[in-house]
Amino acid sequence: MNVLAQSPGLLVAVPLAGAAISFVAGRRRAPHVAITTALVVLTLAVALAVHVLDGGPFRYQVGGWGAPLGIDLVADGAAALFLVLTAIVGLVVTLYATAYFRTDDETAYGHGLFWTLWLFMWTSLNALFLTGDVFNVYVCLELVGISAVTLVTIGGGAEALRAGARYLFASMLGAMTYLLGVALLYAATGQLDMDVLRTTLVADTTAATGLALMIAALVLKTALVPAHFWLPAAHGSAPSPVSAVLSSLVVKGSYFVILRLMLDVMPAGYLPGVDIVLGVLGSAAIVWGSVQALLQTRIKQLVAYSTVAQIGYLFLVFPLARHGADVLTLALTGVLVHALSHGLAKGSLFLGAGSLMTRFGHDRIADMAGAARSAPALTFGVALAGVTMMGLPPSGGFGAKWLLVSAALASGEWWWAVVLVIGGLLAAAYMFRLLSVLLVDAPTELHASKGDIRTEWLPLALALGAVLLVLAIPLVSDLAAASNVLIHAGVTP
Amino acid sequence: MSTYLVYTAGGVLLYALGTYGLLARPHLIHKVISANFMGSGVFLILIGLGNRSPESGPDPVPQAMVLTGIVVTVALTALGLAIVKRYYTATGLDNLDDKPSAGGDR
Amino acid sequence: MTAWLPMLVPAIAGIATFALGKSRGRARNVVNLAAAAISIALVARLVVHAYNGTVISSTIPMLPGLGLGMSADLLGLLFATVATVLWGVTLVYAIGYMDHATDRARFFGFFALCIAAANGVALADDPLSLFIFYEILSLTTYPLVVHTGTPEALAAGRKYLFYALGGGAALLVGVAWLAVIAGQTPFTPGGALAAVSDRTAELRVIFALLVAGFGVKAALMPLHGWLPGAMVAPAPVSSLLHAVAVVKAGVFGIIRLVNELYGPELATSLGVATPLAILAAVSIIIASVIALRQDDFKRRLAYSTIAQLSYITLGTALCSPLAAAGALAHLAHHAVMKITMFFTAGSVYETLHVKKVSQMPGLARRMPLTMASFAVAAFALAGIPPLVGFASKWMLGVGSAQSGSVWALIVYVSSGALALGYMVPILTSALREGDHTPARGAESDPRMLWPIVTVGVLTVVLGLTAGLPGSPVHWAMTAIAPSFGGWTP
Repeated sequence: MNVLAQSPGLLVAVPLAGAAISFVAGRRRAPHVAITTALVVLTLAVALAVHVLDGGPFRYQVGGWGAPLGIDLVADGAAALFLVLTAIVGLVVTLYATAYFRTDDETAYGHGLFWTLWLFMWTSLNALFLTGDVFNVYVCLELVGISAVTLVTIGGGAEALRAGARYLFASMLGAMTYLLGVALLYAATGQLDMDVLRTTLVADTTAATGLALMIAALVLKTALVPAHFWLPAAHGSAPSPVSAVLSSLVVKGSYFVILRLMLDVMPAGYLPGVDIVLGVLGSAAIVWGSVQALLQTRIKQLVAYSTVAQIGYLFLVFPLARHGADVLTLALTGVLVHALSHGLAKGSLFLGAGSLMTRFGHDRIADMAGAARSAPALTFGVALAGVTMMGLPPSGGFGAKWLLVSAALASGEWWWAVVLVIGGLLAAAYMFRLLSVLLVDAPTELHASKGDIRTEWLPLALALGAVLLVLAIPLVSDLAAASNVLIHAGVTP
Repeated sequence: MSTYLVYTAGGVLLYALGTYGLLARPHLIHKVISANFMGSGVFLILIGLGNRSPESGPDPVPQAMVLTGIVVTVALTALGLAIVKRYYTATGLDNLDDKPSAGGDR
Repeated sequence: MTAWLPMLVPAIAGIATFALGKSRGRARNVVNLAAAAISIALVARLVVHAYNGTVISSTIPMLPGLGLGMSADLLGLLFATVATVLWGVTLVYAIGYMDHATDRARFFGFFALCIAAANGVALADDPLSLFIFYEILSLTTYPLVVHTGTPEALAAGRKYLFYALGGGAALLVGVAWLAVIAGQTPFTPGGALAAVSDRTAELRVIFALLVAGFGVKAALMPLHGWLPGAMVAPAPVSSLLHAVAVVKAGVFGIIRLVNELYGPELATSLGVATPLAILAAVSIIIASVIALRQDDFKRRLAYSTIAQLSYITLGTALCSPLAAAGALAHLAHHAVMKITMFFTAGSVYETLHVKKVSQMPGLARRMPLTMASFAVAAFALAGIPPLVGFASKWMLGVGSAQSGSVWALIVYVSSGALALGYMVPILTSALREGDHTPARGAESDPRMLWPIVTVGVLTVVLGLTAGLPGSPVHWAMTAIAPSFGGWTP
């Protein structure tokens, strides 16, 4: 079982090595390097999850140095869930990208760099999920940001460059603000390690200001309304495999840090009112994002605004966490299931949108009639992903909505349940607006030759995963119970 | 103690100036430089922190953070300048407020 | 495991249908017909067990503290039997009807999935499981409503979704709320909420939410708006789903809710049963009156369906044993009668493109067997003895009198008259000489004709055998009795 105990280090080292090898391997061999790396990382992530389920959370000292100067990795149930999600979506996106970035397409600007940048981003994401101290969070966030911005601009078009620039400036603002927060926190406490901070944090204005700045910066990176301004353009104009990982994984990275700071590091009420504010902003995101999605005429913009809305659900855990252990358990399990189901479904939707755009040669929803007949698997994938977005049974999204609604009703704050229900109905409205066009009876001249088994079936595979997630909820509950949040809250013995 | 305060005050001032520039100045190069202002402000605060209690010697942790931060900022700046240059080449625009006339990439 | 099979077999058939794709039509028909035969056999076996007092059930863990459960009790099996048997009949009809249609793989695939969901609703052991299959039913019906892909169909689909998802949202909140205060509550004859019966205010709100959810599919006014529009769907869909599976899932939910979740006693003492009864009574009268004025054949049938569904809701809400048993029997009886009528509507449209009652003159001569079957079903629906509708209406009427609700008896009697009023003009119109007279005796495709005759004959046979053990009437009384503390008819 030595490999299992080493898996946190390997989860960072393997994709990093893959990135380096893919860079020197050349554009023809790079896809093979990426696929191999993805398979190894998936195995490692599953192994880590198994290890955490068996023995609970554990720490891993990189190089044996130890804090404060060394780097400690912390693997708990929640981190394992995000790592597995990243590995599954990552593998599917990698396979999809082998069809999307055709190696024989010499004209495509920068496409050869995709593999290296993507594996590098994967490295940084894994490191972000595992890191145990607040300064390494900064480094990981920036590494994710740099690779993400570059990936957005990889197509080289004016729109992509514009979106990338906006994304970069938002990223810079967030980075510097986060670092300022870390500086203030260190000035007050002299600590950077989250676990030490958790046990030593006392009421102090400087420390509280630092933490507030850090959370504000992370909110910007997670694109919570009203800090979502950069997201639709960036996610909407990136190449589709990139959009998929940005929407389904990258925003979860910064969210996971917020989750740990709010529910694990800080004692309850350390930043009074912030939990409510986050809940209200989350609710606003659900409504605003959904309404915007309903108004979009271009498919990837619709999907991107749907991300703005779905991010909102993740923030409802914070106001609910104040209502005792039972409600906290329900709500935390709920947001973890939501993060998983949204990750899978959104990956599917962006990949599916990419395939539809390749087939039709444009991105206008109104002109996509008849897709159900010529590309049934693709349409079915969009429909299944839609089901989980709406939170309808049987799907992971339903499990998440059920858990969050139950948490809201059990807490007595029923209005969060109303928000959840409205969000589901609005999601149905924008998803069926898309689906009803695809189902229209219209003989269309499609570029059938561009249909590839990978671009047809991989989105469906991810969507099926999102649907079948409903059967894995007991497993997710076990991993949630093995998270530091619930262990430190005394829920898990 | 007072040295530490001077560093902190200067750092906060630089950070605030940078934030203003990043948000308010339309020119893309200005934005990149403003982000560097923000970074320098934070580094100044961290450097000051290293000498918070001179009697016990300098604290190495903030210095390690500054070194890492500089590396990250250099990378961000390089990427920013590259994007700004390409955007200017593609559209002839030096800000994000005007919409590029040619759209429609994938 | 056995309790899951009536749901799983059609589901697998549906997935296999998708997998077979567009071209392999013969294999598709074989798979679907075989699945229907297997499902009927499986349900029959469960019925035998249930009659002998063995209720087979099984639960798998799903959400924290809550499982997904199936239980093959007599009440659920009645609905499952109706849905499965009529699925078999409708398949034959649909294979004939859809002979020249496009996207048949999609059609038959979702058709099978709908039946899987309906059987799931029938055999679900607790509110959460029932809700899950209820929502799956909403989703799998949508592609069938919009099947033709015309703007009219898409508009009807949008309307259907609007109602179905709105109702589903109410149901979600109600079911989740119930789970929060009472945990897992498997359906129990006579009520499952004794432990929390003191939380009256919450229970009233939850009841209203659940009725709003089930009321959409049960087309309880004012939640009925989607049903007439959904008639743009192909005839097999109107026949099986909008006369049997989907709408009956709604009333079946109400039956479970009143008899086995709250229990007649709690529903009465909370004062929630009477408002539901009044709502149903109003629906009966209004829908019947609207039906009188419809010229479009299928729309007239749709409004008749709305009225007849509210018969069942009213009978259930009276919380009197005979009326409740009558309601359950009417669930089965109405299914047989109404499917005959929708088959007829589809047949005359597919063969002669007749859509309106006023275009019917000559039909009786042109398609004598079809119209004779229709006539039998129409008289049965109006409650003429000894046809099938009479038995359940008699029980509903006597039951309402026994419970002291004479007003309900008046509603039943007057709506019977109204039913004659909207059915007889169809027959007189068809009997008149007219456009279709010349080619006499040219019936539709035999694959459509014989299913019609089969269900037509069934309306007579079930009426004549209503007093025998195993008939829907006897079955319903046996299934309902435990909810009323060992009531013996």
